[in-house]
Amino acid sequence: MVNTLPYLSFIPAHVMMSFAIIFFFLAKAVPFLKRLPASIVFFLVLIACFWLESLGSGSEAVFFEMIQVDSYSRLYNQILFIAIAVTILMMANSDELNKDNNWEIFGLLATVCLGMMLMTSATNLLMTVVAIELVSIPSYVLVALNRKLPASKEASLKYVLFGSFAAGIMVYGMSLIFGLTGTLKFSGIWKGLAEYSAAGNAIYFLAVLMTLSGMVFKIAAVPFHFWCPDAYQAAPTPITAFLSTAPKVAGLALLMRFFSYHVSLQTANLTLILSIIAMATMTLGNLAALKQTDIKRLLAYSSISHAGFLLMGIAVLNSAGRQAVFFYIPIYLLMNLGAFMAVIYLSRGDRFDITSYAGMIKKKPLVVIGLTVCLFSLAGLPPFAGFVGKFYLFKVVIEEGLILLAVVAAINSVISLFYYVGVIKVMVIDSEDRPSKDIQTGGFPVVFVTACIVPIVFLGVYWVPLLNWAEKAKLLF
Amino acid sequence: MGLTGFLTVSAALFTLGMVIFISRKNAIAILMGVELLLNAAALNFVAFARFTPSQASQLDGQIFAVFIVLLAAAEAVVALAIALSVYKEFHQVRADKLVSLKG
Repeated sequence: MVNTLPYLSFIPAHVMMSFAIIFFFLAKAVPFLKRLPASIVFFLVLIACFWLESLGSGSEAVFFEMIQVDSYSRLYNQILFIAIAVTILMMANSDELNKDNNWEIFGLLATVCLGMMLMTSATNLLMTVVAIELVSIPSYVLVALNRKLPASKEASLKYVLFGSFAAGIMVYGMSLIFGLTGTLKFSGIWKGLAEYSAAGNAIYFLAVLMTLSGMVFKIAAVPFHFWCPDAYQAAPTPITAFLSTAPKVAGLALLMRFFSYHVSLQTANLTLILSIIAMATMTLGNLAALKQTDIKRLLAYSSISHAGFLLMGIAVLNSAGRQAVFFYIPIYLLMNLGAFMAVIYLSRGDRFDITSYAGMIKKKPLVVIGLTVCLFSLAGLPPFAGFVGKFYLFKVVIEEGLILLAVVAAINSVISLFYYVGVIKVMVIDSEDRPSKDIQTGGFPVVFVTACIVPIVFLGVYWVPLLNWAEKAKLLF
Repeated sequence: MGLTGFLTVSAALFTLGMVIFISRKNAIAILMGVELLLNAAALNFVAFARFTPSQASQLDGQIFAVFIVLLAAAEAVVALAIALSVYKEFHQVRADKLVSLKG
């Protein structure tokens, strides 16, 4: 007799899966459901899941120990629910998605959400593959849904080709790990790899690097970042905001859990691998961002470089690093979501060139100030929260003695300031060459952006509440 | 044929898939390259499960291979659907001609 009680701890995922199915099938077929407002239904589902997660306690291994439900996964899932709820709010205020298809879009989002919940709690390579694909496959479709831009189909095709390529390399790497160790459990594979890593075998590095490729693809780090600018530029802006936050957070959570099982023998070489990826990611992202003329593309490269910064916290491979990442994630969410909402508001129509923002400060001063705060915070300038987040990441890296990584990251912070300030200069100092008709819009985006920048400024000055919250991350696993 | 034979075949498949992914221009051909990568991994899993079974979970490799087949199918469905809609929009699916997004 199987004991079903532990499975109850995984209830939020069951709820999310049920609603994914309902969104896909029933909503189109049942007339009564069709008339319900889709966004409100999904919102209530997310609130219910958030509440269910907050009820849980303890740590349970379910589904043949493929999934570990613990406080770590619960905390990250709650962050993901918030990110998706914010995305729904943004979708209601954007005209790039076809509103008639809301049920299908929410079905896709619910599937992505289920995949991300599996990513935060996976402890088995098979579950890792399933979770990553469950996030990837609906994302390919979501990118193609921009009804104003035919190029979104092209971006989606590039995304799906790179995504399946990364998945192919990842499963090949996993097959090598399985062959070397005879197990698929995270706890088993690092122990099994110990003798190979001690001997410095090439097959060990090959297997680990190949397995990493799929996870690295999800957080858009070098060398699997090619899809990112195209997909972000052509996708509907709310979906861009979603892709640049939630799957990245889930990917980081998965990476941290994956590496938390390593044995001390492997620390040095894993740190080396991860810091090389981190340095390459932030440098490439920043250098490519310098010559961008499209704001969404610029934010895409900026999110690539942020993936590099966040990898710094993972590269140190200790609980202080995990805590620093955990500390930075809410700040990153606020900055990115705020910036994308401002972008939606400032570029009614389908023009996202930075030059079209010239003189915006006169027309929409509040949102421009909001975007300025978000961009300064992304650049890591005090007194905004982005500075504090980066400060803790630098701190853990320097404490571990990874001076080169810290120096490269510092140089990159300076480079990133160039392009963020470039956008602000266009908005604030440049004057409009030919005045365009001002389109009146509702006040919601202003409220939304303000709701993002108030915590950014507040946490930048007084970050103790967030630090207390991040203390919880120490006690995970 | 021993384990080495299977591993050689799967390594060859993997290399072929890589070469196709890098050298071919047609999106459908690239997709076929990706299928080779996935099948190479599936072959590896089955071979390892047959020749070096772990005591704890003897079916892990086979199950993983089944999941890879499913994954390849799901990915092919979505990729072909997207390729179709790209064809409707641009009237070709050659990756080197789809250049409206750059930078």
